[in-house]
Amino acid sequence: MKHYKTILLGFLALALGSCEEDTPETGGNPEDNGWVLVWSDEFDTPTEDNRPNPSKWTYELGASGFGNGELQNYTDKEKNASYTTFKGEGCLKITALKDGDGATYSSARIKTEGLFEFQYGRAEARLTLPYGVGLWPAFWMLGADYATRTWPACGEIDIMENKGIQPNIVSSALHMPGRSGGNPVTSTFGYQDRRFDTDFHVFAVEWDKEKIVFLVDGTPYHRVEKAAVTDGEWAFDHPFFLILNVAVGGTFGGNPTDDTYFPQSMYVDYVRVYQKPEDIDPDANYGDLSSGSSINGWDFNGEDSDKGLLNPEMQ
Amino acid sequence: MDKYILNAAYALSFSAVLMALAGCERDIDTDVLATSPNLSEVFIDGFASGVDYQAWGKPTNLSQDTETKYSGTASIRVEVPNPNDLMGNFAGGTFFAEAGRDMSGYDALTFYAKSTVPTTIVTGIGNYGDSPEYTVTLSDVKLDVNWKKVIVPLPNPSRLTSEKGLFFYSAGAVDGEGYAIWFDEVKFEKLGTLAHTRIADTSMAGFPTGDIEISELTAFVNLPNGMDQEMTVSSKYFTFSSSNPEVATVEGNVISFHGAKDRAVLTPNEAEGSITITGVYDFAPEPDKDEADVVSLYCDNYANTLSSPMNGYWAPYQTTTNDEITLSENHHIMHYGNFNFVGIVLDEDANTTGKTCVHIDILLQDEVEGAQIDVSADINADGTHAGQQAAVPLKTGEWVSVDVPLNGASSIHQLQLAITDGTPNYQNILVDNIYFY
Repeated sequence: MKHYKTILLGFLALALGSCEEDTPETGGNPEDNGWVLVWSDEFDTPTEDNRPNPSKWTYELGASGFGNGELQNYTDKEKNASYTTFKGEGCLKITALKDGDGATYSSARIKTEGLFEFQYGRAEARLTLPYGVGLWPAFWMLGADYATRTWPACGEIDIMENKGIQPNIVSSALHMPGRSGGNPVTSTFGYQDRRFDTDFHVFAVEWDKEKIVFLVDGTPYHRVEKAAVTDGEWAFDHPFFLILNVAVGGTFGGNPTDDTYFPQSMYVDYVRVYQKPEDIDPDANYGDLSSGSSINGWDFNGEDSDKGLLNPEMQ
Repeated sequence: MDKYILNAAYALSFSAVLMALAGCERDIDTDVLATSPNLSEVFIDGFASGVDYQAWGKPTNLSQDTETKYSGTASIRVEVPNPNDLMGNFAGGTFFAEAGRDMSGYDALTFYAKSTVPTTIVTGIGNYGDSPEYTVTLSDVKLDVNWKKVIVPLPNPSRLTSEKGLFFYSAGAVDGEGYAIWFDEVKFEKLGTLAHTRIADTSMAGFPTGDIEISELTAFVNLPNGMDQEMTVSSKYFTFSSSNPEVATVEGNVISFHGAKDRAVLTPNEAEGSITITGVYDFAPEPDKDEADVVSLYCDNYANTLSSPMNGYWAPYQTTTNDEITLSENHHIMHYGNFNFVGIVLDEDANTTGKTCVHIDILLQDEVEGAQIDVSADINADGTHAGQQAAVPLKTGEWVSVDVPLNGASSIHQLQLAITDGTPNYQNILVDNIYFY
């Protein structure tokens, strides 16, 4: 009897299991693994001017090439960063245009600097990448103290970077003194028969005082233990802020060709940051949440201070 | 009891699986069941079952080579003849399956190829039979002495449920010399790494009535190396939606106009890009001359006893392209795009004895103020005008009838149309009703 039940349940499980959307994003809910959601932007409700929420995001501007020979001019214009609906999801769209606005290409690089910074936790973004030779989309973090501790001493955590010439491969990297520029601690993740520019994929980093682990669609593929890094100076024990951008050209993946099709957009369904309860820091900058906001059982009683300083208190 | 439970378990589990299959396969179209085999192989180490070859160029150019191959035991060797070969001056042919193949589960034809000298070949699928429906043509595939994997993307594989044309190629001599090409591992694959099918954005004129078949389209698919592969594909690969059905709708690959005078955008459901109907224009005025008094080149109301390619492609400065709009068997209009000037050189000079003028109707499509066109009838290839060159103002969306005096010329070699110097540029004009009277 038990044997038959097993057969029956097995088939039922197969039947029900096969009805779930067969997406690659099967990493499960981080909150089931003890993570507490402390910050997010779901991009579901457009702002008045359709640009990124200024309480969460600010801009990196200019056409300096950023030390990488990049060809784009970053703007704060709606044409380069705006709300949209993509594949039925409310999204932020970061768009690279070949429109000659300040450079051959214009694009956007948004960041949470001064608005939300955190130390240790899980940061993830659900993204559909742009495509084509010369496109360089990225989801990454920079040490918030970069003004006083010059890069790479401030640390850089590249959660996802993609070369337009490799639409089915992404990479992650840690930049620190001794391992930076063209020699970071890096690894790649690829699908043999799937691309990152046709559907949403979840790119995440899990970071604590001992290690940093990079994940794609729930699969950990790059684990860096602090103790194992002997040829670099660990630079990841202080707050970082988030960055999303679409660069064009440069030393990472090369420049566009005449055939590269523009405009090209990276669609951001959401960005979420989780922390383990022991890493939630009452003095950290959790952003401009309204007084009394409650997230996942945590009551953020902080006022809308100019720094958005919040004082979490477990209910 | 146990037997009952077992049967019940099997029945339930079978039902569960059925439920799973029925509940999850949402995309199967049960209206059309594929009956053709879905074999992937065309040539691996020999011709796949049911595959035959039809030569287009030199018929003896193809053989199997067991010495030079990418993998396995054999490849296809093609001898590209020199241009003077009496048996055929190029190599070409198509591999076909007379029974048809279901390729809807694949997204590309792939093969490995190399050549003894650097060359460029044409290749693709769907080119078999008198009326191929689903062609894909890559016109610029470069080969050299190293094996290279060539990917021919299928722009909408769901259309290919019974395709006979599996693989074709053609190649010509390089620097007047023949050479050899090898093909190997020719097969259909589901790569999963092709994406972003896009047709080139184009614009066209609309008309109050009539049907226009959408011709082959320039299309692009992004390859696994991030590069866009340019192709020429049959418009039948796509299903088009109209932004303004009162202007036009599309059934299959035929545009039907419905009278409304507005703009409409035709968008393929299976690809990015669009075809824009920039406006709906009246037809040119009906010619009012007796046919007996007319020598006609391009007019559906008269027998066209004259002929011309309608475009001299005069290098190096001419940019003008042309394509004929066929609204019905008896209704044609010539479209000139990227217009700067064009020579309409007659295949044989027109005998214009007793004729006084050449007539031509011209419509400007572009929204341009102050546009003007020069029209002349020339008695020779040097461009000696028969009479005065006419400088004619054009008005957007309206036909302008031009009658250029022949000044007694007894024969005309060519007509010339050109944007008048010093006047605003424009790119698209329609031309109809060219005749001498």
